[in-house]
Amino acid sequence: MIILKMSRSAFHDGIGKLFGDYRVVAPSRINGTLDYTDIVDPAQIDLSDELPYKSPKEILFPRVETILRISDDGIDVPDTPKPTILIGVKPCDITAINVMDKVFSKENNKFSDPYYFRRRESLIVIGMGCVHKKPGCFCDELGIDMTFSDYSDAFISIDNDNNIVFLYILDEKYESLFSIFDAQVLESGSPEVSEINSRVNESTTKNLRIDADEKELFEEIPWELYSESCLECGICTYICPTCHCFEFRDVEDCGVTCRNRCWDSCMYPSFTLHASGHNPRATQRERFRQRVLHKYMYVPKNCSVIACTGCGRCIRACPGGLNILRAVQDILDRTIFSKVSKAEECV
Amino acid sequence: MFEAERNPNNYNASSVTTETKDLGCACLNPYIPIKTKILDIIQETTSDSQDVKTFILSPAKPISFEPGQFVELTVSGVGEAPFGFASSPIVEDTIQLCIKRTGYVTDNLHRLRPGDIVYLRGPYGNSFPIKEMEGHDIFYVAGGLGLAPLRPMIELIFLPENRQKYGNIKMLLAARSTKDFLFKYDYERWSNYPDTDLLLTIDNPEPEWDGLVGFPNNLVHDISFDIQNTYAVLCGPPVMIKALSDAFVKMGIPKNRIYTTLEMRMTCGIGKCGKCNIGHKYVCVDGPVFSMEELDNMPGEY
Repeated sequence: MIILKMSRSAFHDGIGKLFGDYRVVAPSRINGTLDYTDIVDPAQIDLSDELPYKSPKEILFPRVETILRISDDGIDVPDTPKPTILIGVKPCDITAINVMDKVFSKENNKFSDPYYFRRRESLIVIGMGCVHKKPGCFCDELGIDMTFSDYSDAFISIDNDNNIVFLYILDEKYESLFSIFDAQVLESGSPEVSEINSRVNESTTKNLRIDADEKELFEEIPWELYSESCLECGICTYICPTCHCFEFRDVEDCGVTCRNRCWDSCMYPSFTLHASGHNPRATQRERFRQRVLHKYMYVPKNCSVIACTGCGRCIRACPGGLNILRAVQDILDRTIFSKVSKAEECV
Repeated sequence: MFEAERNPNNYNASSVTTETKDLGCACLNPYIPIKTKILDIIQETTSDSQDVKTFILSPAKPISFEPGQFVELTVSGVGEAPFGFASSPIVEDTIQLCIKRTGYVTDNLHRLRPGDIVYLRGPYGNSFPIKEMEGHDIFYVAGGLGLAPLRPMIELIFLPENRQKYGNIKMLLAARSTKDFLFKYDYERWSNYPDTDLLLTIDNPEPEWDGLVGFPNNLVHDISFDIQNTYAVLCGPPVMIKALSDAFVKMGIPKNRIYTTLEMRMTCGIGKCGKCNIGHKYVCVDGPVFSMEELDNMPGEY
């Protein structure tokens, strides 16, 4: 592995050279809030030890994306967007990209989503670790190492005392791209750089996965206890790095219909409402159940990953104080207890 | 080597995209629909309570499908919604969809005229296991619009080359009133096929009605059929499906010989949009056809 050692200003200068060919997105502070933002000047980049307010999922899965334009002349697909470099992505958000890759791939339900993957294939992810755990974060409960993720193309480590940036190039194919940086090239193992390694304890990776009988979970878990203060605002799903449910909205103008793919939310009553008026998930109890089980049970069953990265955003943002971690831990306590009591009955 | 390449002009954006795909091609893009002309529209129901029409459609490219599958139909400028195929799968150049005026898309669809253009994409979902049913009797029960998704299977099995592979066929078709039956023009032909019984029932008595009266789940007890050798194929409102399958199970039909097809709100049809799941199963890909054995192991979220 090649490691680039450079000053902060050399790092900024290098990023500045990418603007022509790439959309550059990095954490930046707007009115005090740190968020993944489109960067036009490298000085905007803020690589502090803080988790950006929203996840970067809209880079790959925009809030609104025109997928088709339908008119009498035919059907046309908007051009492939400019490739993106995403800088300073935290390990939880990198893990979320792994989840989205699986959900939108053929592996999940035989079809691959072409709009997701045309953005994904040209995305370069430069990660950066967390130094301190933030309030509400629980990535460690899911076996995610907050300091490093190898699911990125390159990884940044910063020596703040000396204003030095280390760039670890994890994917060899980007070595020539990153030669734009005016940097000292080091090999891994050289005394100047600290080893960057995943510190994940494999035995903890399945900690929060719910594995129980679906029918029993539906009936025996007190879902209303977890969801009673829910205001149905949907902020948890919008802010979540792995929520991926969507709706098509067609807008017609001058004979051309744009089919727009928009984010939707399982927290809304209209999400599953049939035209007939029948709603399979009629109350918030069922809708919160869907959100929890989709993340901790259905996606794990269908794609072998938990669709939660412990970023804690939904917990910090919820106006009703809902806490998905507490709900999941309670469910796990109850299902383990019921398994134990059933085993005892058998004896 | 790395040093020598330190030249900002040594890279270009296209080299980092592994594949540039042409998403205008339907082979790579499952969201691209096929332009389709409405050839004819048949008014099915004549009651005031519901308006059901059959749309006879001619897609620019033939869509081949299996009985039980569905298609996503776009009304231009309005939106898209899923509908089960309602015509014989061996007729590939025209497709029939039987649609009730219920919501935003269907209301706008019902305003269209022959010659107008809609768009179709599909087929999606699984299909009825008709191969597995060979050698058995078949008991179809349809409530209201539930007859539409069963019609491709009904027509396929009635084909002379297929009919001999199956035993007796019973059809119990339920409608709210005599004005609400669908495909009435098929009934005489269907009932004339060998070893076939076609029974009709309405919810409430009407003068001059000599058919059955009542819900199918209350009537099946009085209909004689070979319980040990029958596959039951049901479709109708969720309440009917639940009550009827309970009745059949009580009579002794094994749950793996009772099949039904479910409806859900479905945006994508390909298992991504997250709306149609029942537990971890997606109705759009794992269904819409399920056996009662499968449904029994799934939560009742439908």
